[in-house]
Amino acid sequence: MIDYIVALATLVGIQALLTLGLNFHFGLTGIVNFGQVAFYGIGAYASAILSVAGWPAPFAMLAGVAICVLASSLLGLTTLRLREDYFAILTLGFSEVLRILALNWRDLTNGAFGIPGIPRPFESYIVPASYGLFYLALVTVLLVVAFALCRVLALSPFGRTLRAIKDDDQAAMSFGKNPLRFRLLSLIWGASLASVAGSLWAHYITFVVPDQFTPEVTFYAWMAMIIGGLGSMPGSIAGAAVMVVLLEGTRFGNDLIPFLDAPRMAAIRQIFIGLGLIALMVRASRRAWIGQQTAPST
Amino acid sequence: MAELVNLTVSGSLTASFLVLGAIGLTITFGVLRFANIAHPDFMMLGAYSAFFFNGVLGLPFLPSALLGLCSAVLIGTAIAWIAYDRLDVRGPVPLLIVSIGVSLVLRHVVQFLFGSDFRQFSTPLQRPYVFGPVRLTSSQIATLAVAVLLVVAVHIILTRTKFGRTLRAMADNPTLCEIAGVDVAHARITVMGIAVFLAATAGILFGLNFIIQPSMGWDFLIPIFSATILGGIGNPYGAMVGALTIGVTQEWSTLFLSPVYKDVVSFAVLALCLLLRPQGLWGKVG
Repeated sequence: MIDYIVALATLVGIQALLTLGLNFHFGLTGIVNFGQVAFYGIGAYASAILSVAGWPAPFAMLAGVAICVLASSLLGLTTLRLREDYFAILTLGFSEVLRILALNWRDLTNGAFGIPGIPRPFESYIVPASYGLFYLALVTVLLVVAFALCRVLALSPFGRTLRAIKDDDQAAMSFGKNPLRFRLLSLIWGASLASVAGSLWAHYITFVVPDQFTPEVTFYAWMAMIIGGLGSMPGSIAGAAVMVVLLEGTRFGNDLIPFLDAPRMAAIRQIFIGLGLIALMVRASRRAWIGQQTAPST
Repeated sequence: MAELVNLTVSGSLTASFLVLGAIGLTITFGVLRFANIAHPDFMMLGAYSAFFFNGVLGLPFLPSALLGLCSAVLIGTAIAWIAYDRLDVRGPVPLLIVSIGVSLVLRHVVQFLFGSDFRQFSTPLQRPYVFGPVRLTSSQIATLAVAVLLVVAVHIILTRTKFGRTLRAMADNPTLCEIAGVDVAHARITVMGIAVFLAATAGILFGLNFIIQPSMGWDFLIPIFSATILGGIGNPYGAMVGALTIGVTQEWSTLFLSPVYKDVVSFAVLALCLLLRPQGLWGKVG
């Protein structure tokens, strides 16, 4: 039971990092990023490939972040000028294209078989029985650092500019701010958080495969962000906790309804996730969360 | 050379599915003002409705296709109307998120009912017609014919009817339309109906030529959006050109690349186009 709670808490930490990044994009800056899973996947695959090749885990993680910075800059420079709905579709497409690449570039990613046996960091120094707890501590430390940085950034003049750009591009421009530059920086920062989350996931599960990086991951992060409140950093963590408990909780559905086979059960789960997403949006529009929140709740 | 001709033919076939999907997507965008992620799933809905009559009840293909089309239009329009009109969610991003929810629900309800295995329509055996280097089955000819027919029909509706004028006016300026006394609610639901009709037809035609699966809508997402955005979102004629470009480019790319990269190719075409013209080939700025 304790092990299960530790595992859940670890997943919450990873999901919270992913959601924090997305909240920086959409909640704070208004970037409609539907490809967050791309950066998560880049981080996970960088960690997997490099640490299997013998790199120490922290360096593999940093390499993942570096690749993400590069990838998000390229994506941002080419697409951030576009209208928000074009941008949404393009980011979604970008994440699917990366997944297709991971599925077919067998020399690098081992395709659909995935990469097993990713080493767990510092495993030799820790008693095996308490490794789960150690990993939770590691995730928590990184989450706290990321949270603090996000908060500092959000409250700094930089964060103020991001909110100004979100509210009114033209007004921000008339004060001599270049919206494209600030949006790009926001995209890079949120992508880096996603990359760290991906690295932590890879080292935790010790196995990556392209199927783990479907757009559903992005949608879960969106749901977590909306549950927690747009632009709210503590909300991201709370929202991530709600999402993980919901997702992991429904895995036990099989025991409750034994007469349904596994694919049907999986379908029911997805139906509820879809309905949940719709319900969240209905609730959010009633409360006018979307589009009108301006005061930072950080 | 013969290979190129054949690839162009199969590209036009792909373009037939894409064009019917893309026109629906683009007119939905023009009137409802959001990118409907669930739109390709209406293709899947059409295919499975026809499969229900054909594969489950055992009717011949043609009546199944017609019955399936009718039921898909009824179900799909009802879902779209409830989700995008009655729920009182407004704004492009919230509606886009709702459409992701609709897409998940649609796909998995079908998966729940029919399972996630590949399915196939039962159609009579066909002997291919040979035109020089090109071999075409009657399914393929029917697909191309229906697609061309519907494209012409859309063109006539857009240019020659009162509804077409309303549609173009709403795409241009919805507020002004409302002030001018246009029945906006009626126009919205009609547009959804037409969009679902075109998508469901495309889905059935796809099922006639290939195998179907609940996730087939998702597989069409990137090419259809590429075609739509390529032509300038909201512009039906742009969508036609976009669909043809994407369909043919995808097939030609198999000369150099593995077919698994078709989606990557359509995405690359789209990205390249948007770099040069951020509003799409024939889109309006803003």
